[in-house]
Amino acid sequence: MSVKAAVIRFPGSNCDHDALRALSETQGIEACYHWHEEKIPKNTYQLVVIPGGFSFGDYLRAGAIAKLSNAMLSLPDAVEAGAHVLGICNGFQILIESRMLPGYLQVNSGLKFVSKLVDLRVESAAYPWLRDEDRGATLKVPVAHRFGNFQVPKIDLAEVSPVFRYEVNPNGSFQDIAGIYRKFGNGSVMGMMPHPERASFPALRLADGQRLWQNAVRALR
Amino acid sequence: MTTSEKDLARLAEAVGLTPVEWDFLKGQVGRLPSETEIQMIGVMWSEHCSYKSSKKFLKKLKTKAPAVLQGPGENAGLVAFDDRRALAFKVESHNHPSFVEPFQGAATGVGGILRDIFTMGARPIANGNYLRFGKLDLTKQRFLLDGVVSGIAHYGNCVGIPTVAGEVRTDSAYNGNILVNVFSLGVVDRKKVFKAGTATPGSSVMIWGAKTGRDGIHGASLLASADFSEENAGDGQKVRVQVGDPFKEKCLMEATLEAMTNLASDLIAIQDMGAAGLTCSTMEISYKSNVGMTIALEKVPAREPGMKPFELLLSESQERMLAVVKAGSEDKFKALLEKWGCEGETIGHTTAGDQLLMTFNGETVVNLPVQKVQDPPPFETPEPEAPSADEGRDLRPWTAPNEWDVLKAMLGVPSVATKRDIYQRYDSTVGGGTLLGPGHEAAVIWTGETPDEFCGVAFKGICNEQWSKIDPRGAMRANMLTSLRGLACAGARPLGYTDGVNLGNPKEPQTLWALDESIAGMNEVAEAYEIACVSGNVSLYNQTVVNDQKQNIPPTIFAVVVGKVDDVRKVRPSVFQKAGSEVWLLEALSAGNDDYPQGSLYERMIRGGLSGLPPFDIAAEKLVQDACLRGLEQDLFLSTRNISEGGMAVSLAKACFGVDPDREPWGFEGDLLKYQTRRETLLFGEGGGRVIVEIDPAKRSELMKLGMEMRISVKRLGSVTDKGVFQLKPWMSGSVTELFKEWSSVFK
Repeated sequence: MSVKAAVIRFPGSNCDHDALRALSETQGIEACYHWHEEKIPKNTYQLVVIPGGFSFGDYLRAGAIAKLSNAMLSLPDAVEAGAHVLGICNGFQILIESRMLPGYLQVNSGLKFVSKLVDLRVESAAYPWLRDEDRGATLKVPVAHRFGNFQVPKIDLAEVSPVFRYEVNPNGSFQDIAGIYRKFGNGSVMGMMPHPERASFPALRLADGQRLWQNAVRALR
Repeated sequence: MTTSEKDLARLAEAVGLTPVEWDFLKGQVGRLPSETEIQMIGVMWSEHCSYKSSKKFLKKLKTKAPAVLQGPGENAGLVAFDDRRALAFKVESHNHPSFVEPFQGAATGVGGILRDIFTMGARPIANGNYLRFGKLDLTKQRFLLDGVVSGIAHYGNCVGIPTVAGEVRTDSAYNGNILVNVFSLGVVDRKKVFKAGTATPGSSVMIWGAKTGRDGIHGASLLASADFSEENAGDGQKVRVQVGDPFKEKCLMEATLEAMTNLASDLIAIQDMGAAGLTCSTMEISYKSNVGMTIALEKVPAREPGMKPFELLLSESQERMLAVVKAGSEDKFKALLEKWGCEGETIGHTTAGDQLLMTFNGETVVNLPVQKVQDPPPFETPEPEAPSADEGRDLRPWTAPNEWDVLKAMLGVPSVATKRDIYQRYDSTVGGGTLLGPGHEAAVIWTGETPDEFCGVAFKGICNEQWSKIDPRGAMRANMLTSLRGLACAGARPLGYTDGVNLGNPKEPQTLWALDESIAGMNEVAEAYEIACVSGNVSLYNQTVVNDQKQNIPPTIFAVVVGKVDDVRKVRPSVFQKAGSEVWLLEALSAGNDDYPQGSLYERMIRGGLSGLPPFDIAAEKLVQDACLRGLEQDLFLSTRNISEGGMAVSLAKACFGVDPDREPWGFEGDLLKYQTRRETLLFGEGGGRVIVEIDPAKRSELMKLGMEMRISVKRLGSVTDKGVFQLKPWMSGSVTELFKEWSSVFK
């Protein structure tokens, strides 16, 4: 049986196509869009991806409106029941706004939007996306954001683990953190600024992101 | 003349109509036009909308070629890409608005060009921008640069279209008139193309997207089509600049593309609302489809109460579309638009005949015979005339300063220096298809879809306005050949091009001469490559004040060439890949041993101007480009790089620097002692038909064989190292980091 995955779509999401394609092209995953107005049903999706973009224009704070959608309000119950959530870029911002992940994302230390390829170091396992064997691996993926400077007053390592660190920090984030992960009920929540879904195609010679999707299939199928 | 006729004549003059046009209008309508009608026609017959000065020259453009599916005249041009898909693309200018309000001016420029693409039914997949500023040591120019870049980033990043290529150059001639040209490209199913000219009588007319406000009124007629100077570019003009909302655009784009898929058979015709908003879009659809239209203006969703009919008609509020849909299907469209947070309102219907009838609360305000008033009367343009030959060519004698110092100075020239600090502010990877982005010879986007899984699209556009200053025809030939060579370096074959024309005052014979000559230059290349111009834009009245005198900008024409890559796996980057590999020169047009580097940046630096253009030859270009394509197919190269501005020395240095600032630049060890060419020409000459390639030393004989087969010369230049030294024996040697610093400091 294939792993069921949903990509939540908000007005203003713009990495939704990329995420859907990256998931769909992974053997063993069956992916679909999920419109933000609909609640996320429990025990339906094993993977839920919140894609990048500018949900609702992000004219207030990035993710501040999206967190009020039916999809986001119903997400904790689905995760509790076993869904694994990955928020990428704007998705990470939305997860933080929803308080499903700690800390906050402030404007980049350079004050400007930054779009470039970065090297990410895998710091820990993160079921189902990363395995123990992946620890220490370096992944090449793009970043593209203006509010990606992750800060947190105090990190409770028992609860939240930094999964990715930048080799060269592009935005001034705390301890070079690029992504964090926590368990949540029977499921989990991971948020990251870089875009693994844009690095999932061998034709582009940029395919390190595939590791996440392939691991998920291996773990959940 | 009665008093009211005098008042109307004064209004006609105020909206830019000439006395001849005013008389013509009265004749065509058969009565005195109303105030609102005069306002509308003022915009429709403006230079910006009617192309009245440039039209007869543009007609000479070669617009037919095997790949062309839609030439100039629609929202964007179309070329066949594969059996199933077509590419829609176009370049457009937003110069004057960007000078008045750089952030919104540039942002709405991006918005406008995106709408042109998705109105055709195409999903935009890549953007580019071609910018000109004045001297960057002026605070005002730095302000404009930052505003324009922020505006482009704000809009493009939010809509989620990757900005993957562009050009930034500076010249004091742009001090009072910067150029902001934006390009967009989309992919469309050949069977699902939508147009403006397909409306039928008895259908409903809907307005989609944002509400109509009071912004941008008279932008097209009084800002883009009149004499422009710094003094009149003050706050008074700011109301003529539109305000953009990229989130609205994104939603409108998704809604429109969804409607084109799910409600295709109910959607009859569609036109985006750009210049002159509702006026231009209603008249375009009526004119092209040969139908009439009846519109109730009070039904147009307005942003504020009390808007007058002429304001509704002339507003250039952004993110709006005019659609003609099957009667009875309106609610389906409304529901779909609502899902995306967009307004959808039925404002009228199409009729048989050609009358455009508009009422406002029951009162008729417009009643125009569209076919008769769409075009202005024949416009008297002066005879084109070449400028006097030796104007401004007081050149210093040739000297030969230290080569290392020259190279360093060149790397710090804005057009050569890295634009990294600019392009890192543009999202260049959204869409997940960017194979070669900014910093490479050409942009390449992977567009593979089963069954053609590995194909891609490439594009490149350059314009060396220093060449256009002295020889617009030769300049366009050289510019296009350079772009085509860039495509070949990226493994792409050309399909077509779009041209963004930026010129000075069309009332001057020299301006029209430059247009005529530029078109001739583009046609020469288009003929040779069997491609055509499929879309474009003309921006006139680009002038800057020098010593109290208005001076035209140099002719600046962006011919952006679009091509197809058959297999993206064969594409190689434009920067060196590894230490130990060899670097070779592919050359089809070698300079004579005693030739000076005419037409080069070097000549400009040494002599203060240019004595002519560098040598370019179409046949030689084709040889080297074919060799490039063949070599890539054979997996012969590790990287490829064009030789263009700054010559071979600059190309080698840039290939060492790479696109990733977090990595140490490569070194280069080269020996040029054996070459007979004059040293400054060998190092800095900009003659066409030359490319540098990086190969594995084991492939040397294969490369030589390629050279023989393709009848070009191949010469070994040296090797890539990781020693941090840039050396071209016997003339220069030094730290590559020192060069890198010069190259990186300009746009910080």
